[in-house]
Amino acid sequence: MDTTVADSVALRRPCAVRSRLRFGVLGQVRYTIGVATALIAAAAFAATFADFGTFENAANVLSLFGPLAVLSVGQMIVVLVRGFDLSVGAVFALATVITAEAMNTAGLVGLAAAPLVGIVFGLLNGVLVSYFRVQPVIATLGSLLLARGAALLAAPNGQAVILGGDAQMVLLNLQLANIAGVPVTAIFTLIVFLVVAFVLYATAFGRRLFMVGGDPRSAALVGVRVHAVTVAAYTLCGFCAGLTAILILMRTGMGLPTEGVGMEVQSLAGAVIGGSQLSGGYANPFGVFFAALFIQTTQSGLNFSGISPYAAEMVMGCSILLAGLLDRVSQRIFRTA
Amino acid sequence: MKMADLPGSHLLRRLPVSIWGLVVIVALVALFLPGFARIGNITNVLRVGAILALASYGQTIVLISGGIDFSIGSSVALCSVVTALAVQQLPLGLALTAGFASIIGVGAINGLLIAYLKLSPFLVTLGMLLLVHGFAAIVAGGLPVEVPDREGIHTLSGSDLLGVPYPVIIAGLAAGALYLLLERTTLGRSWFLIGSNLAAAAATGIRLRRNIFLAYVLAAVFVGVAGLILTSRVAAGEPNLYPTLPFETMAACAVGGIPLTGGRGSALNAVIGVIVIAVLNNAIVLLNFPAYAQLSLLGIIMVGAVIAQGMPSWTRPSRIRSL
Repeated sequence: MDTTVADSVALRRPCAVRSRLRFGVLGQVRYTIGVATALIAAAAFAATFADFGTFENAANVLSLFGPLAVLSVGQMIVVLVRGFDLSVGAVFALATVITAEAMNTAGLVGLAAAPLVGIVFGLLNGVLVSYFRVQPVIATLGSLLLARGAALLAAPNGQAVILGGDAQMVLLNLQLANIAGVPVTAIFTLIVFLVVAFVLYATAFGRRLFMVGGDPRSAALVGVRVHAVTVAAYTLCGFCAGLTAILILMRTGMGLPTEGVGMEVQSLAGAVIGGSQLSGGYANPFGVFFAALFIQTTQSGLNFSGISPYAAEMVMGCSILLAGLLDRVSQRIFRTA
Repeated sequence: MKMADLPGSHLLRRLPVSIWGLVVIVALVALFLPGFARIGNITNVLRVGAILALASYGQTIVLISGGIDFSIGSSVALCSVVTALAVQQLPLGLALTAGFASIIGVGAINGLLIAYLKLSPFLVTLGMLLLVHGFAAIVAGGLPVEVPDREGIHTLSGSDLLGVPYPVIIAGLAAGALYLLLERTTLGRSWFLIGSNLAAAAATGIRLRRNIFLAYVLAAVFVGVAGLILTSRVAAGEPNLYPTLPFETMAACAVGGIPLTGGRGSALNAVIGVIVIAVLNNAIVLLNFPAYAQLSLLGIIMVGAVIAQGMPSWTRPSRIRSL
């Protein structure tokens, strides 16, 4: 009997090389692209500009890259379960505004508002995507618009809310503090990544995230509550956006309703350059860490060079196209039978 | 889709559900807001909606073929910058042609990367969003470029024929063109198959790469017309012309009933979605709500409409989402 197209697709046997690539040590190569690009970018800028390779500048880049890194690792968790979150930029902007206002009235306790706002929007996204079966684009785009409008409405006349009093001084001191030359904000970022790595690799919940991302139907068959895990993933992403808001507040001392435009795209680039695949199932926080470092190094380096600030935007666009190419290549290599 | 559809009966038989939403919203707004149902106001609503409509036609084509386009906001900005710079040396007609060509160029790059290199449409168009905006801003020098010949350039957006503004006439004609393209050409029909089942489309021998490429180029033609009207309205090269345009077109398509999963949609869906959004935006202005509320409301309406339209499928046995 002749084989039809459908048969030939179904009969394609698992290739030994492919499965070794997928499950073996070689498969880990995808997560090293972030490290490689970060090193290359840093070396290139250090070679071009004498002042770039200094310890002070490295500390500066490290203290700047926190917000993007934390957003990217949140994005990575959602990408792991086959989604993405376009609302993270607007959500952290809203969180800075609400937190600034809460801290101006309630003092340091108000800082708790930031993760709360993030969690609320994460929950909303997760419930819409899983229980209401809304496409991630629509659900998170809706949250983006909702959060951006709310941020502009919450801030008087859409202007920045300036932190005042003791709370501002505490945050400012934390921002300027360093332990053995390493900025406290960088240590904060590192802790977030270690916690995410612990959750992914050492908890049952982490395994469930990989299962849902790899194949939701199979995961459901072995008793994983796919919807609940998806909601949890989006909530974690929202929580990361809330943490980002704290980092932004520390740096600027203001609630900024218009901040974060384009950060959703950058965080997606961070996740994909860090080795995630948009079709789900892959994640590595350390890959994402270095991918975010690469993006920040490139932007700082281009600022150093003094060309138009829009050049950095163009490079960002190119990195995302590159991430798309990477996504495609890894899909070809790591495709299962 | 029923195979027994007779020619011409498409519209009547397949009236989208969203049209009832449109009827209810327009009735409510007209009933409770006395300022709405005046000729001047309705002309204004349509004039504003025409640009969104043209851009949404482009988004419709891309969505039907299973893709998505985030780059249209940047490409209309590029169009205005290119036109404004070209008009300093060339006659207005040629300058507008150059602006139009720049949008087609962006669409062609999208199409090449997505169809021939098979990159994810999501990442490609997001990348192009930043790349094209950065390029337009650098070329313009970061500031809006004034168009010196202010008289001629306003004709396209400012004039009217028997009280109907040119942009509305153009958007109406374009809706007809989109209908014919989608329903009456082999290329248009192939997008539906490509968007709903890529493997099946490949098996039937459709020229996948060429047709997907053409989807992005023809979408750019509609976006290009929107870009020309926008350029004519602002009469300047403005790198930050309409950054929310891609989101508004997606909202319009979603409200009109075009699913982002591909394979379904029509010109009528897009028109309905655009009118709903234009009427609601107008209602917010008439109610004296703060302009920022418009954003939040757009988000809520978009998600709400998608949930409402998805409800009938909730009874299906498998509710595990497979992307």
